[in-house]
Amino acid sequence: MAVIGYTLVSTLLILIQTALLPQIPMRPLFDLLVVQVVFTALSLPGVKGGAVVFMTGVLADGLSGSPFGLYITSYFWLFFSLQVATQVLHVYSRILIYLAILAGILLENLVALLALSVAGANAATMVWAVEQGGVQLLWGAALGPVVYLLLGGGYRLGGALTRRVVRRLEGGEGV
Amino acid sequence: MFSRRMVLVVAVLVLLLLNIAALTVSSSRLDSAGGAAQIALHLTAPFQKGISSTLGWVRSIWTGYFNLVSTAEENEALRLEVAQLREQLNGYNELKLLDGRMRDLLSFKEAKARNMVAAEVTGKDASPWYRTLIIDKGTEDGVVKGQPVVVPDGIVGQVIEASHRYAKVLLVTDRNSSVDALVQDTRSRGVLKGGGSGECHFAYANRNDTITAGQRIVSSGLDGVFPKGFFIGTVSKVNKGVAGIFQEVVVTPSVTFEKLEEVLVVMSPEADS
Repeated sequence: MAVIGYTLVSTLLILIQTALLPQIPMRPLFDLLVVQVVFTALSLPGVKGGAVVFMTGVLADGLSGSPFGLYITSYFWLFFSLQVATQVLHVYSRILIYLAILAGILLENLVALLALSVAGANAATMVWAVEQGGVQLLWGAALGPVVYLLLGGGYRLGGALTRRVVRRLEGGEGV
Repeated sequence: MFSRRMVLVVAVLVLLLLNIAALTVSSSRLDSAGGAAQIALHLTAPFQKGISSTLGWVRSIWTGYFNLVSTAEENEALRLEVAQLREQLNGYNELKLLDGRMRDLLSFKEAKARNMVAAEVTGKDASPWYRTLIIDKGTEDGVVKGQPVVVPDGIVGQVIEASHRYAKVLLVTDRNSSVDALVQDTRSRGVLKGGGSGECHFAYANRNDTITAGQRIVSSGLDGVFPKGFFIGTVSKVNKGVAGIFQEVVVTPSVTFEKLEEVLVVMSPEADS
């Protein structure tokens, strides 16, 4: 159930990023799914979270013109690092969330730079890509925590509604 | 002999190396997504279309709202009447704009006398490094990989992935895009490559050719993908440098990709060449 719910939220974020935000001139220029991956890593256990992150990566890669695997790679290693930090090293604090969002954006940009360099991008393109990374980090630093809080609120609300529906169904009252 | 932690560290390192190798192979291929792209298009494109249509509707409501605000100073009875009329007018304006766009597309389609399919843009690439669009026509409508996509302003790009009802279009500004092109008046040949950041580069232009800012670049038709004579953009900067056999030419595309709503997919470019 959690896997389906989290994957639906990922799909919703992908739709927002590809259909809604391009219509807005001053749209936030960072990947909202990084925040979703951080949220998933800190909320779901390894296998369930891994499944959500994998499906999120497949959808993002499938819809983008990027080489297949760019998003799966970024999301998987961000998820894995956070799992190690929280479950093996038992590191957890509010500042971790903030740093994880920034680290996720940085990791995604590094993977993109790797993909661009492998594809033979020239120096000017690489400089432009690094600049893009800087802009994304600034947007992520400013809006990342806000998106995280909104996601948290959304999940709480969605969870409460789902529980209510399940209770009603179990009680035989119908929805 | 080896501790569990050691084995885990080695396993993670091997996985990391495999991942980098897979990504390296994938980066050198344009169609690396394969079936995953079709699944992603299948699952999300209908919702993208829903959002795009809803946004269009909200935009018309929003325009209607502003129209109402502009009449706020008039007297109450007149305001009501004007509001109603404006609301109607807004609807007509939307229809008129749509009609204009469709007429442009139609006249362009007739002028070029090619078999084309009109499609609506439903989504855009979220990543800043790559430039693609999702359109609401797929294999069901005859759209297949490799077909050129155009608008009256010029070339948009080419189809790189097609599912049953949707397709992914690689824009000419993407750095993976190449179009065999000509300077319209001097006929100097080159290859128009996407710069990635919104502009294009007219590569392999001979240093001895006279190319100046403002000249128009059109497709040559020699790449077998894009029909001959389609407008692509205007030369915005030329740098001959001090050495080398080519000159550096920057081209500003003629199409405003941010505002694209409808496009035409050229079904059989080779049929009329």
